[in-house]
Amino acid sequence: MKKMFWAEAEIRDNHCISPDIYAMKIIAPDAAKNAKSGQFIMVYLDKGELLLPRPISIYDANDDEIEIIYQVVGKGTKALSQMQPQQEIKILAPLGNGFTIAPDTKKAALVGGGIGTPPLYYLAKTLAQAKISADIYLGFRTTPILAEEFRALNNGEVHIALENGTDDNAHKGFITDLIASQNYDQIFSCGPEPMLRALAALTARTSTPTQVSMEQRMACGIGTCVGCVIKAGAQYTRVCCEGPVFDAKEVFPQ
Amino acid sequence: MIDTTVSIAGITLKSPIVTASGTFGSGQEYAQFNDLSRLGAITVKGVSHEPWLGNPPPRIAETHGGILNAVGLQNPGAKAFIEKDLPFLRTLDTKVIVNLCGRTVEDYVAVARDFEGVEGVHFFELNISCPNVKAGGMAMGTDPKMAEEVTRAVKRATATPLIVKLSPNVTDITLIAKAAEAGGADALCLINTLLGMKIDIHKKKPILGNKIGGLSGPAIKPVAVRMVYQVSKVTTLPIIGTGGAATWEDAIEFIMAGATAVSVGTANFTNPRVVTDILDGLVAYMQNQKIKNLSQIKGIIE
Ligand SMILES: Cc1cc2nc3c(=O)[nH]c(=O)nc-3n(C[C@H](O)[C@H](O)[C@H](O)COP(=O)(O)OP(=O)(O)OC[C@H]3O[C@@H](n4cnc5c(N)ncnc54)[C@H](O)[C@@H]3O)c2cc1C
Ligand SMILES: Cc1cc2nc3c(=O)[nH]c(=O)nc-3n(C[C@H](O)[C@H](O)[C@H](O)COP(=O)(O)O)c2cc1C
Ligand code: FES
Repeated sequence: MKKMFWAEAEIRDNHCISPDIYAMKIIAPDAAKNAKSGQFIMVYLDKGELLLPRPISIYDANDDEIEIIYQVVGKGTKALSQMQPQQEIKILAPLGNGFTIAPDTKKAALVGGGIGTPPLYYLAKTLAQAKISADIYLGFRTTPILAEEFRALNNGEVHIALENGTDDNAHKGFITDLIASQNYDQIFSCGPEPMLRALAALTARTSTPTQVSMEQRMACGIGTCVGCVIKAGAQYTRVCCEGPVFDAKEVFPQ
Repeated sequence: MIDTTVSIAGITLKSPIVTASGTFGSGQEYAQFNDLSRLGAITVKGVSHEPWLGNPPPRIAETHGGILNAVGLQNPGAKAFIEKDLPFLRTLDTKVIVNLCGRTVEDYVAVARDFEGVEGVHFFELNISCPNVKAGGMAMGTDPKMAEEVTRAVKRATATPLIVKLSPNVTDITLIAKAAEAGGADALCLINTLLGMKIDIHKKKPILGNKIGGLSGPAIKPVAVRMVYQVSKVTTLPIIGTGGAATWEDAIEFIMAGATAVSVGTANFTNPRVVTDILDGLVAYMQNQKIKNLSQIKGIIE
C-alpha cells in the first residue's frame, strides 16, 4: 500500500490570489517528499459540525512544504480561508494515484478549466524538469489564474480561453476549441466535468492518450468507505484511490 | 492494574473499542495510524454472497454534525473478501467481526456458509438494518418476525457466534431486540444509520444519487444512547453500542447506558487516529477513577 502521512502541520502562508481563490502553504516534509503531481491531500477542519475533511489537489510540493490552491465555495473552504500562518492544520497526504507520464512522451498538452488549473502546475513543473515540452491550455469563465506561473516555466505555449472575458490575448469561447490533439503524445486534464467530457470526445478521435482528474464527494479519502465512486464502464470505482486520475476512455467511453 | 477486557459470547476482547462496519475497510489502511492490536475487534465492511454493485453516486453528503451515506453495500462478494482481505486480518492480534448482508433469508444463509471452514473470523454480525437496500434489508430489520426468522436461519447454518445489528428506524427497538434474542442471537449491535435526506436547494435536487441515505456521526448519538439504554433493560445479551461515538467520554456514556463494547464509525473519517485517542482516554479515565474493570460502570444508569 502507498505511504501516506497524517500530520499536524503548520501553515506557512495563506493568502487570496484572486477573488475567492486562496493559496495555502503547509509545512509537511514527509508528505511533500512523497508527493506526485495529480495527487491530493485531505484537509481536516476541526470545526465541530463539519465532520468531513476536504479533498484539495497538490498545486506544488518541494522538500518541506505542500502548496494548495482552493476556491471558497462553502462552509469548509470558507473556514480554511480564515486560517492564519503559524496555525496548525491536520492533513493526510499524499493521496490518490496522480498523473502518469508515459516513457515515450516527447510532447504533452495540459488542459485546465477554472479551479481545475492548479493541479496541473506541479505536473507542468515535473515535465519541464524532465525536458518534455508541454503546451498549456487554460479555460476560465471571466478571470484567468496562474497564467504567469505557467508562462514562467517556459516549456511550451500557454493558451488562455475566456467564456465571457474581454482580454484581447485570450480566445473567446471554450479552451477545447484550441486544441489540435493529434500534435501531442499525451494529454492531461483537470476541470469541470463538461470540459473533460468534451476533451475526451476530441482526443478519442485522434486516439491521443488522455488522462483526466475527476472529483467526487468523499468521506475517508483512503479507500475504506466506498463513498467516492464514479462510473467506469459497468463498475463503480473509487476516485480517492483508483483515481483521481483516470484514463479518459475509462470514464468517458465514446 | 486496570483491566480493559470485555467478553462477548464467551470470547474475550482486549478492549471495548471496536470499529464499525463500512467505515474501517478491512483495517489495512488504518494500520498506518493505529496499533490495531489494541482494538477489541475490527468489524469489516458488509459482505454478501455475490458481488453487489452499490448505489449511484454521489453517495456521501455532510449534514450538521453528521453525514448521510448511500453506499448501497457495494462489495466484491464473500469469495473476494476471503481471498483479498482476510489474510491481512489474520495477521492481527485482534478479533474479527464479519458483517453479513443479504436481500433474502437465503442470501444471508448463503454468505454465512461461504465462510465454512475459513479461519480468522470470530463473529458474524448480521446487518438486517441497512436502510439503503431497497429489496429487503429494511423490511427484515423493522419487522420482529422477519428479524427472528433470519437470525434463526443463520444461527442454524453456522457455529460462529452471531451478533445481530439493529435498525433504529422502528417505533420500538426493544421488540426487534427481543425477536433477535428469541432467534438465537449471541449479542446485539445498535444502532445502524437513521434514514435521512439532504436537498441542494440551488440545484433543486437531493444530493445523494439514491435520494435518501443513512445518517451517522455525532448527530445521532443521543438516539443511539437512548436505544442502548432501552434495549439493555429488556435483554441480557451483550450490546455493542454504536452511533456517533467520537471521544472517550462518548464511549463511557455508551457503557453506562448498558453497552459492553462501543464501535466507532464515522469518527474515523474526521480523525484517522480516533480509535487510538479514544482508547488512551478510556485507560486514563479508568486509572483516574480507580475503575479496575468496566463491569463496575456498565449499565449503571437505572
Ligand atoms: C480529488 C479532488 C481534488 C480537488 N482539488 C481541489 C483544488 O485543488 N482546489 C479547489 O478549490 N477544490 C478542489 N476540489 C473540490 C473541493 O474538495 C471542494 O470545493 C470542497 O470540498 C468544498 O468544501 P466546502 O465545505 O467549501 O463546500 P460545501 O459544499 O459546504 O461542502 C459540503 C460537502 O460536500 C463536499 N463537496 C462539495 N463540493 C465538492 C466537490 N466539487 N468535490 C468534492 N467534494 C465536494 C465537501 O467536501 C463537503 O463534504 C477537489 C475535489 C476532489 C475530489
Ligand atoms: C460509509 C458508511 C458505510 C457503512 N456500511 C455499513 C455496512 O456495510 N454494514 C453495516 O452494518 N453498517 C454500515 N454502516 C453503519 C455503521 O457501521 C454504524 O452503525 C453507523 O454509521 C453509526 O455509527 P457512527 O455514527 O459511529 O458511524 C455504514 C456507515 C457508514 C457511514
Ligand atoms: S472517500 Fe472513502 S473510499 Fe474514497
